[in-house]
Amino acid sequence: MKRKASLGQIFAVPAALFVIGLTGLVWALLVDGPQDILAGLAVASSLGVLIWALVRKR
Amino acid sequence: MKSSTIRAWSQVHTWTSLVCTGFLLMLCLTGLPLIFHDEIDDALNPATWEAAHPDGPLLDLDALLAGALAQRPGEVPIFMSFDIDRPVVNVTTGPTADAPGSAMHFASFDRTSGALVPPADVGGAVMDFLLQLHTDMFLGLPGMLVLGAMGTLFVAAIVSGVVLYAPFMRKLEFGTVRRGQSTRLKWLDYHNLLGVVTVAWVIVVGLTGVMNTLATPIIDNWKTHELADLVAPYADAPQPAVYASLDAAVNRAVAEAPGMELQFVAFPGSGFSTDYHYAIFLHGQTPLTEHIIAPALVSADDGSFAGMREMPWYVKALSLSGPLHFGDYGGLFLKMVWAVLDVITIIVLASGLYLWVARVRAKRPVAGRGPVTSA
Repeated sequence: MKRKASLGQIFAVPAALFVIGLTGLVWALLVDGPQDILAGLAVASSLGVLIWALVRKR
Repeated sequence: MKSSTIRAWSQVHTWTSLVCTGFLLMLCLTGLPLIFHDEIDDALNPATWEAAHPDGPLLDLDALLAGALAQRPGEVPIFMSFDIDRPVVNVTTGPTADAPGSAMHFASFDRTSGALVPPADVGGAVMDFLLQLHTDMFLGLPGMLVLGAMGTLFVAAIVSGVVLYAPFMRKLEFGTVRRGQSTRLKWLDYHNLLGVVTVAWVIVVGLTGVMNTLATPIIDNWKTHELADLVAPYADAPQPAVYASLDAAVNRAVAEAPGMELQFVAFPGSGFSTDYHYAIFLHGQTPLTEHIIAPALVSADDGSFAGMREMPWYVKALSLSGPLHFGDYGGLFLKMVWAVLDVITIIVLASGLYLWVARVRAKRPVAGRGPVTSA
């Protein structure tokens, strides 16, 4: 990326991960059973994106 | 963002991080096994105990308490708690009801026979050591408040780190790690990437950790303000010499709180009650309300029911801060995610320290060449 990115472009992925992660953390507090796994996956979304960022070719 | 603004945020990030990093590394390292506290306890202490009379009636709580106190002459009851999955009552005693944790004695009893339940404490000393190091560094309230201050600096470091993320990423794509360039640039990119994707979790664990360090003043404030009207009629009267029936008090509390489950009893004079009441704590049955306790207060003098007390918002917030900090509320999968995020936080902290050291070294004049000056 040569051109300067806007704030929106810079924070698009981090902001999405923030909202999804926070939702997962609160969701797990409100549910029990299988839904806990879904909430855990929401919290783990940042790990998925991290792995994608680290393994992709650049 | 102006370069002077960036420099100011950079100073905030550097110094808040530097002050708290040592403490945070300790907290992350001790916190890692504490996430799996229950699993480690269960693995080291296989459940072999059985009640003497599995289908028999439960003994009167007064009889169980008398039996517990008979084994600890000269001590007074402080707390009584109830196991969920087996007929066991746990009695905490001490020289006085307000004795510090180190002076308390904990024993479990079979509710069907009154017999002592052998303590399942293999590995307990190690976990207790880690928990106390993590909670107050063996310094009591001052230690908790120091850790709270470090947690506050940590949150400031996270916020300033997010602010600084923007100017660093102006010309880089999300997720960029410049592996082919200098070691310092590579670790700067790792630091930024790992830090920014874990912000939600780190902020929640950081803020709830700060909240947990304030547990003592929060509970003291609750007692002083929310229970003042219960204590007022007693003025400076001494604690009751003989307590009213505990069993009747607990049964009354349970009857007054339909849909709630009994969690523990705080005896008169203990940290969670007045000098004159049994505080019988119950919790809800939904995933959320099972973390939130509410006390029923019963006079230990004459057994009269003083009422249920809903906890104020700040005590509810404290109750929810426990699970949100330790990650023990969403099953084993969430705990595993918690552990990975904890390890990532350790890498962010260590890489931040490395980046600071590398920057300081880069600025230092090289021997024989004289100070580096700008053209």
